[in-house]
Amino acid sequence: MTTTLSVRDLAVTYDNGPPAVSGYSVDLMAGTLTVILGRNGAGKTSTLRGITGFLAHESGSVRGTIALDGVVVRRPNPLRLSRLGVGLVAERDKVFANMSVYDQMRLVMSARQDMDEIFGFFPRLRERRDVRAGLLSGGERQMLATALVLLRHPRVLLVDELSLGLAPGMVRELMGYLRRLADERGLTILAADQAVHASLRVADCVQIMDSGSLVASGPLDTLDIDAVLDAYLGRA
Amino acid sequence: MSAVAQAVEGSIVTGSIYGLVGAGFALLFRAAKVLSFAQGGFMLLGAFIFYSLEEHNGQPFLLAVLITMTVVAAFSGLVYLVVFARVAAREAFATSVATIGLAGVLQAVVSIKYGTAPLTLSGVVSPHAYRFLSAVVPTADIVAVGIAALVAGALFVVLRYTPLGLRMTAVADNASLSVHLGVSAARVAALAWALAGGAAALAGIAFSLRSAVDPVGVADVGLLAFPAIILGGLDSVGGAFVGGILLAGVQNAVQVSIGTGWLDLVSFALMLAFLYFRPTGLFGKAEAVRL
Repeated sequence: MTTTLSVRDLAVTYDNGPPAVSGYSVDLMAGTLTVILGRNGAGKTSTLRGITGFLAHESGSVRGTIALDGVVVRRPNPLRLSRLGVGLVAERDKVFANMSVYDQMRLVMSARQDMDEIFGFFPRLRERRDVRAGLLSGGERQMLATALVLLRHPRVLLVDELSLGLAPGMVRELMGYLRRLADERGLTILAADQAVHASLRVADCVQIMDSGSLVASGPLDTLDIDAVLDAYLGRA
Repeated sequence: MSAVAQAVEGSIVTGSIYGLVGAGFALLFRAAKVLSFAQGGFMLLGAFIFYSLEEHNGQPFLLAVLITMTVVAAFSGLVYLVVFARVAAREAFATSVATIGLAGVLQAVVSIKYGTAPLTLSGVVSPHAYRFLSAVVPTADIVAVGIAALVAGALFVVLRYTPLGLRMTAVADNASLSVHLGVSAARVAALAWALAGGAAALAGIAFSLRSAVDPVGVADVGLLAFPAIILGGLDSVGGAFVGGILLAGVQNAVQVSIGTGWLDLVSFALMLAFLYFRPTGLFGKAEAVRL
């Protein structure tokens, strides 16, 4: 198995404050699904945003090395990472609220059959194709956000809080989609989430973050996951 | 009957010029959520560049129009990239305020170079007037409406049928997400600025052909395009033209019935009424929000 995305010593700070993330490293193998678990404020979102880089007007600054297929990405920023095949499904503002499902898929797709394939993957989006995204349900928005990134044919998919505000059944369904994306499309996925059980059900590898640092990381079957979760997520 | 026909003719022509300026407003609002107060400035710049090409260099009419439009469009796009891109990245509101400064600079530059007195374009279009449904229609009016119709058609096609139109809508909706999905928001916004600048330059030419190259008159039209776009809908390019013609119609009615002194009062009162009762205008879209 080859490493698709490699991150070394990632550090993220905001407005010269204390580091939100420090010393984060990971090697993501092709076609695997890695989940980052942690409490609120553990640094999960900052880690994903640190990998994509920040926009000029955003107050985050990043240090560390990002490499794709062994090639170091110079001066990473969201546009460059997106064009290199790293897609981010963000936690907030992840769809174009005032555009129809169809129009925003048209914006990013390169071929008509891609859209048909996505509709095959997320049939509910086909039913809602003429609805403006701001009027979709939370789960439908997550599907659309994922679909928009997938239409760009990413090699690496970063997913932030897929479960946010969704019912457990919907979370399981969406996590199942992520598993299928890794298995059927060979996508390399790094997903940050708080839905521990749903995430562990589909993950190959797990990372636990606490106070901006990794406290455990590795393939699911090599970790004493119960002990780690008890220690850092306060699971009884 | 002829007075009514003449009023309708005047409304269509003046409204077309409002529409040309307003289309630029709507484009910038669609692509960057910016309300640009610099459209009047670009209109003025266009009018004077055109005057210079015609009166000092004797360029053929069509060539002078194309050069003026291209120069002002390129300048407008460049101003965005050099000055406004960083401001716009932070806050659309800050950009809107900054455009007031840009309008001031453009007006000052033009008055230093050309003075503030109105200048006459001599013999650029034929002085011949046609008679249509008992209205007298000068050639300059036909040219003005023709320019507006061409721009309206071109913008309709660009916005509705091209990838650029889709990108503009996306960037206006959510610029950060656009970038994360591989769309260069800065490039899209620069193109919107260029198109808006080009439309304003054409409005400046159309206005000057009808009356004179008049800094005060041009600036007034730039300001009166605001009520027009509020009527039509801030984000609707087609609405800018419809709003422009409606506004010009109301202004004509006011002028005939109660006098010229009431023009601005009624125009801006109409704008405030729309903002209160129908803030999306006739063709604008409300935000799609589901809690």
